[in-house]
Amino acid sequence: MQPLNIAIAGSGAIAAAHLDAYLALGDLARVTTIVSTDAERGRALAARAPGARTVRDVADVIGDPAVDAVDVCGHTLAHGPVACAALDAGKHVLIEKPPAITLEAFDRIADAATRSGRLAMVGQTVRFQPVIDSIITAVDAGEVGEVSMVHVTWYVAHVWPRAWRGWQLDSATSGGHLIHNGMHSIDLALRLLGDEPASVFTRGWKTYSPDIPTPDSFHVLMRGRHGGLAVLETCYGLRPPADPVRRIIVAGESGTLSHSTSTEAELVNPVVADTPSSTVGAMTAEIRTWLRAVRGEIESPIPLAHSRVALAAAIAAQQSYDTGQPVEPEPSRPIGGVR
Amino acid sequence: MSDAPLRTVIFSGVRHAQNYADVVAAHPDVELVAVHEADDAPDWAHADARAIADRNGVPVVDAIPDDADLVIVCSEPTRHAACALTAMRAGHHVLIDKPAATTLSDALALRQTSRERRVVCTSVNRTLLSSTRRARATIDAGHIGFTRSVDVEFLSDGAQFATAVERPELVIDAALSGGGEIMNFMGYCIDAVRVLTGCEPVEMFGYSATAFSELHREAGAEDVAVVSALFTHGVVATITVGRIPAAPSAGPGASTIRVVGSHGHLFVDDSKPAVSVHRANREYDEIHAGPSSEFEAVTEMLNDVTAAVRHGRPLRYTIDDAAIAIAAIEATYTSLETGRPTPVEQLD
Repeated sequence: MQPLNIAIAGSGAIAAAHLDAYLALGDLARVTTIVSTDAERGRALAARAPGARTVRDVADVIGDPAVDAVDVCGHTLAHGPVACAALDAGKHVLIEKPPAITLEAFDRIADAATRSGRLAMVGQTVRFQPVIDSIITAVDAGEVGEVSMVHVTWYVAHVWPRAWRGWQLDSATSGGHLIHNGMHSIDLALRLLGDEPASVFTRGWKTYSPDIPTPDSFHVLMRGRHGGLAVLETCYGLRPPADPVRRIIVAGESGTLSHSTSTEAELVNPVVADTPSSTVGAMTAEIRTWLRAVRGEIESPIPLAHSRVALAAAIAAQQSYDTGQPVEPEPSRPIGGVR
Repeated sequence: MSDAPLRTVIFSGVRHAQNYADVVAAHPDVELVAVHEADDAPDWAHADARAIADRNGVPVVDAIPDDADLVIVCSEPTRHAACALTAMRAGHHVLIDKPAATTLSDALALRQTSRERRVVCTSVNRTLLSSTRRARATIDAGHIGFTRSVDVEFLSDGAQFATAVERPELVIDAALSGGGEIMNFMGYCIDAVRVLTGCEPVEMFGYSATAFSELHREAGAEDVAVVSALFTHGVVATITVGRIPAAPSAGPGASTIRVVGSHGHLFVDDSKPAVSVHRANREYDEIHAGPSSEFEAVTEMLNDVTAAVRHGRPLRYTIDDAAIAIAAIEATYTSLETGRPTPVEQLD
């Protein structure tokens, strides 16, 4: 089997993490191109991928028949144009979350996917963390029956590489923190509930630095159209570095799933600055899954229709934060003909 | 006042009465002397009073004895205030099962009467638990800096509904309960945020559902709710309350708290410390180390009440605190009706 030729659009921290994943997957894929407006950063990434080149303009990739697929990183505003151009050129795309900051931009991607018949998948990396994968598998297997309540606690340190600077702080570029990072738990909760949100309510606040221009902490309440409830509390402001805290409760009609990182908390510290066992390997698993879906070996576990629902909820969450009122997300729409 | 045990009467045997009787029996400073029920209470309530009296070897009395020191109100929630007012007006100190009242106006009447009659009036709560007190001490010592957010989860185990609740109607029939599981449990959560942060609730928003229990569904009572609360000084809280088929705890419920501050964080789990039991048939269980948190909570309250009655020491939790929790519960129900964030009435 020939490896798929991949172009990574972007050269920031996430692009580097994606590259690491491709390199870990060996012959499944080959990163041939790094698209970067920052030439030095692009060259640094390309140097780690044997034979890879660096280009400044994504058009150079779009027109290259040797590129099979484009991995769309970079800041969120750029996702749509790059993804649409790649799809229209017959390339498959993996789009880093959030896929867009508006539903109009997302729908352009979905329409391009429909036109091209190529696979477009949003990279919700959290889905592929070992513990999250286990929870989803257990729910799908009916271990707790129909799920009606999800409670996610998600606290991480204020120190996350190359964040809290540049475009992440600019809501015009990122969509706001509820979209930028809120997508993680919102996507997860909706996947577990198997429901669309009817109403979303958000509060946001600043835990670590009172002067930060976006809330580093927030909570999101959701009520599903079928009555399911979710409370998602997130803090990107823990004082100790490398100190992630996660607790997940999934209550179903015949049982409850629960997970807590409390048993591994002491094993994650500045001395052992490694990913906790509950989350390790997620990016590699995500990339492997996407590649398999591109090859047609499996269905994409993150259909565009679901990603649209999650994005609509995240946009509603951001609007709720901005207005102080509950917001009804835009309803879903069918996305036909996509892989 | 002498150090003789406080002569204690259980007023109504409808709700949690045996739980209180058990704690009273184990407490050296209180003594159960009688059970009383109101004349106009329904027959089933009188039967409950008789059963509690018989089980504990005390008489049922037509009137609260004048020499009773303490009255523990164990009626259905909607009658709590009336029973407690009757007792206080007769000069007795009162301890009321939760919620102390099912309306803010009733709670304020209790507060007013307690002040006028100069009698102790308090209601069961979990703020005196050693776990919460240790968390409070940690916060007070500055270990997590300025508290920014609190997440409180109180989930009761639906599998134990039949044994933990004397009659389902006491929780799901609004005429008896005053509401669903928000009315039943959310006071604990408001209390927790207040005692840990020193901040007062100012705005509530919530979603509720009847997601798990057919009995709740038939009665139109919520069995679960998620609530966002704003407290003074910008402190925020999330509250998850309800009765789910399997609470994430080996005990009758899961009561946990997470607090994030500007300089640290801490967690509270009332089910801990515990000893794990792994049986050969792969069943798993936990044995709570020491008395249950419910037993500890009431014991601590009796300690407080005894000190207040004998020595005039201030209670750590009074009807004033309970009234604030009830104001927040009322605001939450209003939010559910209107679909909007609702201000909490600020009490003087």
